[in-house]
Amino acid sequence: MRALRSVIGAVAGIILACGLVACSRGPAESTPAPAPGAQSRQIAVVVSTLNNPWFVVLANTARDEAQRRNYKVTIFDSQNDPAKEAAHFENIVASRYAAVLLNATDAEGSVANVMKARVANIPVFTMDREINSRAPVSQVLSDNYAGAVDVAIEFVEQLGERGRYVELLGIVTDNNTWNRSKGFHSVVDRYPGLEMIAQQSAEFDRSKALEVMESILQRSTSIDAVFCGNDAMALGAYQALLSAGLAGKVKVFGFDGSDDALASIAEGKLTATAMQYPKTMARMVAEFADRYLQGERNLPARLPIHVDLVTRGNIGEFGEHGRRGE
Amino acid sequence: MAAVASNRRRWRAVAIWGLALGIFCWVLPPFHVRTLDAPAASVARDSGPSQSPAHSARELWKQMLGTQERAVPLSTLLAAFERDPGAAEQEYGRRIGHGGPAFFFVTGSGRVLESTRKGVVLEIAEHSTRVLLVTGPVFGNSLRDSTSLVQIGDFDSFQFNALSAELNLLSEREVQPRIAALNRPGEVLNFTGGARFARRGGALEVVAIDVSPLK
Repeated sequence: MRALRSVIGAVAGIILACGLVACSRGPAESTPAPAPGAQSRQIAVVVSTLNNPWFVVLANTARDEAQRRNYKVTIFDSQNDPAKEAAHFENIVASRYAAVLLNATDAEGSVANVMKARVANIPVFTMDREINSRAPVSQVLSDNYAGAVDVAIEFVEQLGERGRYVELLGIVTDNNTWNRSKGFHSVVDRYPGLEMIAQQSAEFDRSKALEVMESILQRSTSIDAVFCGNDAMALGAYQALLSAGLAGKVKVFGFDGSDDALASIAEGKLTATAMQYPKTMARMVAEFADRYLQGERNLPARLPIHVDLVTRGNIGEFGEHGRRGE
Repeated sequence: MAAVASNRRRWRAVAIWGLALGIFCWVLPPFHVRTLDAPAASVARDSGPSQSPAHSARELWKQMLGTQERAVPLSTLLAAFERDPGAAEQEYGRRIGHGGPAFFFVTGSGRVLESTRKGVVLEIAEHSTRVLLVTGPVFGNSLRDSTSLVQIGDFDSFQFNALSAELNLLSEREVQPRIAALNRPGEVLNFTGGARFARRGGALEVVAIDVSPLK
């Protein structure tokens, strides 16, 4: 009889315990998406570098849009250093920010930082630079491949399908670098008359592009064109060509649509670029963060933003990091 | 005797409680051991389909050929554009991201007018808009983005771009020889494909998945 009582007691205990645990579980265990930080109204804008005016526009626009939506905003400059970015994320997690708007330093290296925020239930939204992870709530990015295809079609036309060219790559751990390069080559490689004589990284940096281009020009000055993965490198490459007496003889193509590049296209120094829309991207991620923090979960995991080709022929339509009048 | 019986009952109670605790821990483990990378492993890699882009393109190509009846008739599309381009894009067009041109999965017929470096120009009955059946190297996303058969979330960005390039190659290899064979002024061609309006000029550029002579 006592044994029977023990069995009944044990079963009742299990049922009770199961019930208590089930009640205490709540949604946390079943939700892969993190809940927003507890009532915080602080948003962190983490930007790869503020040493390039294009990224200053990106960061400042994200800040302004988040502030317009009544968040307190802090901008963190990673100075293109994944270690600095990691330190920023430590601070962000410790300070319980509500969300992070991230322009990453490294497609792979930044994943751990985003995961850290995710484990702390701080949602991350990437802008302009993709990371190789589904951990961000949304990734809002230029359609770099399609933009580079358009630049390459112009490149082929400008060169008459024949010539020797140099390609300056961006940061090799960044997906944008390779999406632009692959988009470019998907076109140019179809024309056997076009020969790439050098392909080197200048890390999206103007000074480095100047150095790299000078070094290439010491080996050969028989060049018809240079394709650069961003405008800063295009301007650095142009400077090197100018010093070598080749300005105007070599066509230079960039990517970004920075103000300096547009001015240079207007003056005939650069041939073309691709207009990205940093303001659109920054406003969109700030809006997505706000909507997420208000409970919306139906946001796109990845959203490409169209990129426009800019040449001397249509330059009047563009300015101030976007299309005029928009 | 009483002491032995009592001892047996105690052991039985311990066994029952032990069994109950074991079942409880098995059903509801009190803790899980996992590394911080575990969420990354479960959610981070946007690995996309395991097939190569060429294989995915071939599969998509077959699906597009099998769903040609879903393509908008050219005359319907052009009539809608003549009324209201914005509404026509909204109703028949498709965009993957934010901004940029709309793409259309379109089917129709037209009379060969001339050949250019970029393709074969067709004259369309009752419409002033011309169609350019693209020949030579095909670039852009007209095929990938014109139908809802493929979603951006199904692929990582590199695969997604490679898919477009592979689809373009299929059009070059499988359809362009037929276009070349039928490219005679006055010949009337039926076609189906992904399309977009050209940036310069007003022709509808079609990257074809199927072309045949009008019987």
